[in-house]
Amino acid sequence: MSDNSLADGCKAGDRAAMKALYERYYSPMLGVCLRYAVNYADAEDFVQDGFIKVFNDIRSFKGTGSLEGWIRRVIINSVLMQLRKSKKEYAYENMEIVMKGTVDELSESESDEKPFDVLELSQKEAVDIIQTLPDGFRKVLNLYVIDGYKHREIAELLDISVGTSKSQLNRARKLMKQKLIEHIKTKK
Amino acid sequence: MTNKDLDKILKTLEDFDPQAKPNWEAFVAGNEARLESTDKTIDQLTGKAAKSFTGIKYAAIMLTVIAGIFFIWYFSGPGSDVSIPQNAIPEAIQAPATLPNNNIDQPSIKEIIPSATDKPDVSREFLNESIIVDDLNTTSDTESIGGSSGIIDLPLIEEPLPISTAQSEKLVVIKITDTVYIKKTIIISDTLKVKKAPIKN
Repeated sequence: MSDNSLADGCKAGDRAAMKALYERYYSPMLGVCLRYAVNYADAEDFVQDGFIKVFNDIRSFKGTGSLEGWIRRVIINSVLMQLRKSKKEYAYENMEIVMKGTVDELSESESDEKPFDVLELSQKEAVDIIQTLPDGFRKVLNLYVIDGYKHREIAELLDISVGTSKSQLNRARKLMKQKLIEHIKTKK
Repeated sequence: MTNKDLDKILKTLEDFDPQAKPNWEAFVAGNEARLESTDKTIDQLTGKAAKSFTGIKYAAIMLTVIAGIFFIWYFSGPGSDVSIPQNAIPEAIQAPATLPNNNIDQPSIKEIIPSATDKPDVSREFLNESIIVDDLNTTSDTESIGGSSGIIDLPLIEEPLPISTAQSEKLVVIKITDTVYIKKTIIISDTLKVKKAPIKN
């Protein structure tokens, strides 16, 4: 069954179509949620809430773009909303104070000049490392680098300024590099 | 490690699939209430909506309309429902034309207002109005005002009518303040208005 047929079925309230859509996109969307969550359980909650949102909003899918892309956007928005509601989120100001020293300790020469083999790292390991990032860093890094949002869009989504988004991304990158290098060293 | 290296690693996560097995039944069981509300919305938008609810809504609208029509008919009808027994009609204003050969002493309007018809101004007003009544050519048992006999006849009045006359030396003032029901509504104040009653089959 094509994506558009699935979407039409879901619009008509067809449970079979909803089930097919859920089963087709559950795992990839769980992968998205794992990048934004701090653990697997949270990611599962996010994906459940996200699919409720998908089924509620399926009528707004016009069928002009890809269904998967549309679902991904809905899921990400739902995750960000959940994160905003949850108490797990650190305040940006506090997080910056906590992380400033750690990031600055990583010298540019050490982090930028060493060659890095991408093949040394699996996807799951990378996701595990992302999950250890502070919420603000993790969100901006995911949104900008992986999901392709612009700083302006991120600023709107997270209710922060564009400048804050950029600075968060810069610091997130530095911290992520540091954690990756440490991880590879530990593996060896 | 450059930013490019990092971005390359991170970009690989775009299609990260943990190969998790979905459990639709558990999803439905855990979110049944939220899915139900979704179904309703979808049904409403696809035209499959709750027909029973629509039926109830239309029934309520129809009942309201019918009740409204009934109340309008009941309270603002031509007055035919306000039936006042004939014995409530004061004999003093029974028109002679209704009792043409009646020997009972029924004073005519002339007797009630003896000088009113004599006065040119007043009589002209009454006569003009009687013409209007004649033109209506009503078929009810109400007698028209101004018959061929030339006597001003008042219609049958089904309600006690406080008609008082105040006579000065030259002027007679007739005060009729209440509404007079004659199967047709006739409101007498300064002028005489006759509303034609609906013809009953």
